[in-house]
Amino acid sequence: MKTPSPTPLEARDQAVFLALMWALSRPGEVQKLETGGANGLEAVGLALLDLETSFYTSDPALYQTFLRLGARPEPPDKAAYLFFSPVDEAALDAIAQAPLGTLLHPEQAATLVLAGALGRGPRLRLRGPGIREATLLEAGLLEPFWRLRAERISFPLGWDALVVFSQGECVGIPRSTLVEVI
Amino acid sequence: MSTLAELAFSRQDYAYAFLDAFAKRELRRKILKAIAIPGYQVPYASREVPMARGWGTGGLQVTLALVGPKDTVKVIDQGDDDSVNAANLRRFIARMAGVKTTTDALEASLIQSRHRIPEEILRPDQILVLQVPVPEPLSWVEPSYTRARELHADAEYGLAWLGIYEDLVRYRSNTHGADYPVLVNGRYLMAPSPIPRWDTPKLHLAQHLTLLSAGREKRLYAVPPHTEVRPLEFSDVPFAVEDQRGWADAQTGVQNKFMTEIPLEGGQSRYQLSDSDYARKAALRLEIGATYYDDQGTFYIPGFLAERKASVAPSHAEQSLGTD
Repeated sequence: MKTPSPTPLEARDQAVFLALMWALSRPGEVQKLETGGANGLEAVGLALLDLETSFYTSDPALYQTFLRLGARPEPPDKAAYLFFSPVDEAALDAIAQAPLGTLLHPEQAATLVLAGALGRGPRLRLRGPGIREATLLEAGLLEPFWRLRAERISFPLGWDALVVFSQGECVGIPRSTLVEVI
Repeated sequence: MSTLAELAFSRQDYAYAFLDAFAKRELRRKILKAIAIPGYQVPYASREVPMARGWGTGGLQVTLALVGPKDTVKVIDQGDDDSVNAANLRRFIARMAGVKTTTDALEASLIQSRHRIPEEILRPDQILVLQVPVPEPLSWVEPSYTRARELHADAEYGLAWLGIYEDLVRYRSNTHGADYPVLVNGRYLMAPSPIPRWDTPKLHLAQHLTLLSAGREKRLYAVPPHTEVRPLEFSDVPFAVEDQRGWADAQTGVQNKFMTEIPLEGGQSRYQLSDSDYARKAALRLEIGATYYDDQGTFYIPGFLAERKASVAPSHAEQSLGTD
C-alpha cells in the first residue's frame, strides 16, 4: 500500500485550519494564513463549511461559493458561521443577533469571520486563556464592535471571532478573551 | 478545455490521514470550539477507525485531523513508546500520513499520549493529544451524564468537593490516584485523563496546547496555552503529587521523576522511570531539556504546589485501602 498524500485542496484546508487553531489558542497573536490564492474569508469558509453547517454572509460572491459547498444559508440569528466584510453598521446589526449558545451547549454559539486591518483602529489590550499576562492588538475593528462584544459576551456564552487581514494573516479572539479598548 | 481526468486527483487507496474530508472538518470545527471554551467537553461524531473503541480512538482522530506531512509524531502509552498500543498507533499514523516518527519528546511536533505527559517541558509550538477513557469529571459523583451537563452549565461543583471531603473523612487521603479533577480557567471542572497526579500540575499555565479526546464517549476538550488549571484542593489539605521520594531508577539512578514500581519476590520493589525516552536519554547521557520537576523534585512554577511534608507519607497500600 502506498502512503496517501494530501491533495492540494486538502493541504490548503489543513494549513488554514492550523492557522485558525493557533489563532484561537493564542488570542491576539498574528498567524500566517496561507490561503492558496483564495481571499481570507473564503479560505476560512472552505476549510470549515460543508453540508453539516450553516452560514450567513451579505457578500454575494461568498454566498455562491459557500452554497456550492453544501452549507445551508440561514439568517444571522440561526447561522453557525457568519462572514462580514466590511464590519459596518449593517454587519453590527447582524452580529447583534448571532447565536451565543446555551449554558447546556455553549459550543452552539456562532463563529464570526471578520475582515479587519492590522495596525489600524482602536488599540486593544487582551487578557485571558492563551495569553501570557496581556497582549496588545490593533485589528481595524471600530469601537462600536467592541462595545457590542462586551454587551453580548458573558463566558461561557458568546461568539468567537476570527479576524482576517488582507495581507494573508489572521488573529483569533475567542469568547474567553477579555478585551479592553485603551 | 480541461478534461475530467485532468481535474481529478490521482487515485489513492486511502484518504490522506485515513479520515475523509467531512470527518476531518467536523473534528476541526469542534477543536476550535473546544479551544474557545477551555475545559468544556464538546460532543463530536467520533467516526470508525480501524482500532477498537477504548484503545485511543479519540486521541487518534484528533491526531489525524491535525497531522500534515511535515509533522514529527511521538506516541506514548503510560510513558512508554514501545508498548503494543503505542507502537500500533504510531505505525498507523505514519502509514496514513507519511510523517516522521520519533520517541524524543522535544523532537516531536505532535505528541499523542495515553496517560502521561513527558518529563521535559514542552515547547510553545508543540501539541499534546491525550487519550481519554472517561471525559466526565463528575461521573464518580453523578452517574447521569445529562444531569452532569446541567451541573457544568451551572458551575455547580459542590458534589465534587463533597466527594473529596468524604474521601478525606473516610480514608484520610484522596482516593484519586490518577485523573485528579481540575478546574480550568476558573470555570469548568475537567478530567485531565488518567495522568498521574505527578503530571496534573504540568497543565497549569503550560506553554503548549493540550487537546483531550474520548472516542468512545464522543467528547473532546482542550486546554489552551497559558491557561489556569488548578486541582481541587482544600486550603488545609493541599493537593499533593505521588510521594516517590527516595525512589531511584534501577538502571540510571535518576530520582524525582515519575517511576513505575515493579514488585519483586520477597516483598521488595524495583523502580523504573515511567517516561521511557527520558530513561533512554539519561542512560546514554544525552542532552536532556529543562524538566517540569528538577532533580530535587521541585516543580518549575514556584509556589504552585504546596511544600511537601518532611514526614513519610502513608505507604501506597495504606493510601488506597485506608487505615483505621
